[in-house]
Amino acid sequence: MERASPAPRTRTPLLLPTLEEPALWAAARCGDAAARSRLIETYIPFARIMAAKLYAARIDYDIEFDDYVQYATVGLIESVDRFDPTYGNLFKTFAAHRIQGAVANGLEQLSEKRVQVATRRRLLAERRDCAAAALGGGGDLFQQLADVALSLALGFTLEDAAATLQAGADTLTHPYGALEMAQLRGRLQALVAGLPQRERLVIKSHYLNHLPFNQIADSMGITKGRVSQIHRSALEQLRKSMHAMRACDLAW
Amino acid sequence: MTTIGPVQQIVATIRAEMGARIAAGVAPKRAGTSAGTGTAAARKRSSALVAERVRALDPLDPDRGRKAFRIFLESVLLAELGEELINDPAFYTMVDQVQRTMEASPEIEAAMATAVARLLEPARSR
Repeated sequence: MERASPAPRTRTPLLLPTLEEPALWAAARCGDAAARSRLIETYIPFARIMAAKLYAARIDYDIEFDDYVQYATVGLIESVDRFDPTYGNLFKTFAAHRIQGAVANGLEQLSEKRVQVATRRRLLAERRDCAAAALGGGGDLFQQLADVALSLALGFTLEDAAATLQAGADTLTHPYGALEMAQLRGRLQALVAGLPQRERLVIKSHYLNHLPFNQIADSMGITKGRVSQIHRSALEQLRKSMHAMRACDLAW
Repeated sequence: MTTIGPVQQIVATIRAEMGARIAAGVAPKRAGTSAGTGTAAARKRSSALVAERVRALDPLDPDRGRKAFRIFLESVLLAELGEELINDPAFYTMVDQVQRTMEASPEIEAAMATAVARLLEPARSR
């Protein structure tokens, strides 16, 4: 019986013919996009090998192999764009350093982002639990839910106000931004300054410094539950002050 | 002396609207004609608007409950934080954040489900 012929290989071979590669580099350096693409495709398996080596030596087991491959590919593309064959170095030698650097930078950013997301999630959960205390205390369900919503809304606005303060960003330059929320943030910032010392400290620690309630409790020498009470009291005082401020505005 | 706040006005109007509809089984009359002057009247009109907007939702919309609660949230937050925020897209982003955060808590979500059922109940019985 005749053996079936093997399926034709569609993938680009790992190594270019010796004579073809210098021509491709020369063309790529002159801005030939096709030559550049061919070089990148050729060395993608090399980038995967580098990613696999770095993945095998990883210390953070939460990051997936695909992330390593992605950053390695970014490093490869940068290498192809910057490699100058006239220096007489091998491309792989040149690219290996850049790929390692790209993976290290990418993982660092990814880790920082993950930490930030986890911290924000934890702070938000604390605020939500604090706001949920308005439920179940008797009274009207709609009023309770309105209190929960307002507590969270004030929290988000305070957080934005703190972010704006830290970044020194001019919110008016945001293409989709309008004036009203920026004004509300400004009013809230001014009202925070007028809070009693403990309330002001809790609000600033939580929204400006992103400290969870337990860390604030440690620094103030009180319990986490007490911090939660002070936080709730601070938001309530801010609400009252905002009412008073708006009443004054309307009176004028 | 204690004064009734804007949110309490909205809540009171929602309850009065629902109570009236359940008792009479008829469409509510428009609020605001005898509510006084200035912002009090405006708030009462916006409160009545909550019920009107909820009634305007498509009865077949599977996301109707969430939209009804969103209408309530927007009205409450505008009444409390300032009706001028209605012009700012950032306000609606904040409302999204508030609603998502509330939905993420089983305790709050259960209360929201009860509130949504009450908001939609009169419209279903029509």
